[in-house]
Amino acid sequence: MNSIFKTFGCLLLLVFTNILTTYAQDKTELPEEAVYKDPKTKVWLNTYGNIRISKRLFWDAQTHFRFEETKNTPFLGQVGQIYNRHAIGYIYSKKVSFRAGGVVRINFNTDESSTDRNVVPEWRIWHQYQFAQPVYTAMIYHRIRIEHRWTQGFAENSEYIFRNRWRYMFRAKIPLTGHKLEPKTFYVSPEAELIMQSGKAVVASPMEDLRLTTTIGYILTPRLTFAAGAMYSQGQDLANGGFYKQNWTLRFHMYYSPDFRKVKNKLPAIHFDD
Amino acid sequence: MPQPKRTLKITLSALLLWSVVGLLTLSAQEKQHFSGPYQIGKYKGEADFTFTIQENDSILEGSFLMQKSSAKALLADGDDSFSFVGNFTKGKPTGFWKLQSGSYQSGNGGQVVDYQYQLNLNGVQNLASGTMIAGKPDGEWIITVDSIENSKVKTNLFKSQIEFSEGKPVSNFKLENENYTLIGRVLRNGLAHDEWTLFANDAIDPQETWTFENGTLVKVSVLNNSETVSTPLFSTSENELVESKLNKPFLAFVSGLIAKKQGSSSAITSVLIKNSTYYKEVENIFTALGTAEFQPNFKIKVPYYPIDTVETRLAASITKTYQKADSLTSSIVTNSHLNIVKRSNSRVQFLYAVVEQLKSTFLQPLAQVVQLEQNELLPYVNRKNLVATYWVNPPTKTITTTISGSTETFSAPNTDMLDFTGGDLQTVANYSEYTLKALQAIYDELAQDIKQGEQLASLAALEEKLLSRTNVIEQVLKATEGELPETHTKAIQALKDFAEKELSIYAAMPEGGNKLRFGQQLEQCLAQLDQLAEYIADEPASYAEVQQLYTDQVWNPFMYIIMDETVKKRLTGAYESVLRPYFFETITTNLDCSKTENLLSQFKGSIVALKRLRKEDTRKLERKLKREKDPKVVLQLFNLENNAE
Repeated sequence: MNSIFKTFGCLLLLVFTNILTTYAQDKTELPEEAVYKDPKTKVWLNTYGNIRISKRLFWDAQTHFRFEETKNTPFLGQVGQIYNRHAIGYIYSKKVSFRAGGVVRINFNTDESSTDRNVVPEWRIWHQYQFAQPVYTAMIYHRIRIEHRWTQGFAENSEYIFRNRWRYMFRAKIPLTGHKLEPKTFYVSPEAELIMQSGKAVVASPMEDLRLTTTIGYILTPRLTFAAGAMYSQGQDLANGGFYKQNWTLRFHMYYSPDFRKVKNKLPAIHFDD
Repeated sequence: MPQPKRTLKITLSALLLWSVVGLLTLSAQEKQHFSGPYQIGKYKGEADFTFTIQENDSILEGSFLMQKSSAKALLADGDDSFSFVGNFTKGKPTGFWKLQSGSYQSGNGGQVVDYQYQLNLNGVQNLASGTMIAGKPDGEWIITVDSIENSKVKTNLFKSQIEFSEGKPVSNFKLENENYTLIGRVLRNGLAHDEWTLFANDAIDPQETWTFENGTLVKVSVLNNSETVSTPLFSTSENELVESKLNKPFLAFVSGLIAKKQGSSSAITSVLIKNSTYYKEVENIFTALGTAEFQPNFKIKVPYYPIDTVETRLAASITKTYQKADSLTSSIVTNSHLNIVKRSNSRVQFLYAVVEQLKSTFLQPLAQVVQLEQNELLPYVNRKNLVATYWVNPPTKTITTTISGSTETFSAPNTDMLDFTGGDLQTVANYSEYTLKALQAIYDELAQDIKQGEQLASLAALEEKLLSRTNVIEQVLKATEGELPETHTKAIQALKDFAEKELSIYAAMPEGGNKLRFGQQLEQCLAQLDQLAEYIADEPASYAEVQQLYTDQVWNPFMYIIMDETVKKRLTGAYESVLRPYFFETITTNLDCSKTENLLSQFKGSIVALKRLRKEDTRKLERKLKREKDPKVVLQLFNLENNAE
């Protein structure tokens, strides 16, 4: 385990060094001071599926609906992205899992005045390393997620640009009712995620996003949990690193983990160390 | 080739015959020696003797020794030691014999003499010694029983000296016990002769004298308050005389006759009986080892009255009737309820007194006649005078009792044809018939009371049970106070209330009639209520087991935590939300003794069913249970419908 942490530690360090050098060479016109754009409001409806395939393998299936405010739809907004993230995961132990897969994101043009294309796809390959740790009655999680991303603008015949995303998320889940995370329990989950990016297109804006979220969740059954919360995020504009986008996002999550395996295959499911 | 075969056969048979004969003669001649542990009746010890084998029987031949003594046992808590020394000839005791047995404890003092430790003994020693010829006593035999204290004879408890000739007693004999000495004579043929006189050790005049004429006991004289009272016993003239052994049953018969005539028991018979007992003990040892006859063998001549089959049958029927009457008497006399009722009910008191009278007037003399029949002594009794012999006064059919000054009479119904005027066996048979009829009539009249007594006794026992059964629920309630869910406590409380309600119905019922039956049913019902209460107290624990069984552990991939998951929720749900509430509802609002058994078995059965169903494929069942709210249907689906009403 330690070695895994170390490897990713080195990797992260490398990325930061790289970004810093890139930034030093940048020659675009930067504003005198950092400019914070007005915060946008968004609503995310996220479903997280975790479907067991075998004793150690599972299918991670996520579908998110992301709404953005527009002039006509000031708060709830209209659909900005539909986001399909899939992966095959491996349960290394009760506290550690790895996964790798792909993402197809459908980006909708929310600029009402735009005459460009309305819909463009975005492609990603991603891998993730997650570590859990019990602390008193709570759990804390470290998540490292690395994405290789191909995006294009809405403009006709626009080129795909390739970027890497380096994400680290720290999250805690603290039971509010009762003394442990179990069915019929409310919990609060504060989380902070830093998303850095790199690539040829990334000149002066390595910090793509910093997300600070708090959600309140309810564990309905071991296989179904609902959560809702608010997220504040900020990040540098890709075009000019002196400009910072800001977002307030309402997030609604459903976590489900069905197990369609036969009973006899299910039974030893928890004994990962057999 | 048949010829050679046959020759071979003949040769073989001859050889076999020869060897068998050879073996027989060999074994007949060859003496074998035995030395080792041996047991004769109660005597266990080491024996040393020689014997020959004849037809698979071991025949003792030569010297015989058997003994036991244990110094260790003596020092601990006393020793039963014995030694039998003598000779056998062809399996019969012959020659001088000395048989000694005793039970000893170690006494005071002791000394070492010539490298031996000598210990004083306390105890009782029996010693028999004399000569035997061909298994019969011959010459003088002395049997003594002495009380020993510090290895010295303290008292002579019994001493018997009898001269024998080829097994028959001859000339004089002398029997002594602590208080009396009996001196008597016998003729050469063993017949009692002249006078047998019993002297008290501390007086000069004879206490009791039996006078024989040619072996017939004609007169018994007993010293009574310094006056000798003589009564004739058997007559020599009136009938044919036969010889009879003066054995135990005959002595008891004679003793009975004397007691009747003299009004006191005969001391001579008791000394003679004691003597017979000691002789019998020695005879038992001899007969265990071989063939022997060892008895005092005194004979007397008594009148003999041949008995015919009619009389034999009569006597048998008297015995039967007597036995019935005797058992009726004891069931009346020992009934405790009657004993109480007679204090307040004068009729019962009267009948009770009649039974007592019947006992002394009829049953006690009848018992003696029955004894004669059973000891086959009837032929020695003149049956014509049977009533005169065993009844002081001839009884009448009218029993008169006097209770606190007032006199009442009783006579058995339908007994006119029973003739009381005679004095023979037929009359005695009529007495026994009468007694039985009288007792039967009394029993019938008292039957109500006797039965009620029995019923009251069973009611008392039943009531104790009812109370203890009710207590069980109370105890369950106390023991589980504050530990059970409210629904459970309420249900147990309802059981208690119901039990008490039923108990009060029982208490309010009048005695007799259906009360006992109702009580017995209630007892059964309470037993089930007890079980139900105990089961309800246990139910949370039993159901917790089921819940455990229906809980799987699931790894939550979002929390990275193992969580308990309830599986097949429709099954446990049906129990929790339909069946259990239904059981409690029935208990609290709708209980009835006829339902309890069913209820208990369904209640228990549903847990059993849940445990069973956990392992089974229940998809169909779960679908059927969906939204099912009717407990009857759920019970059916749980396969408990056989018990449903």
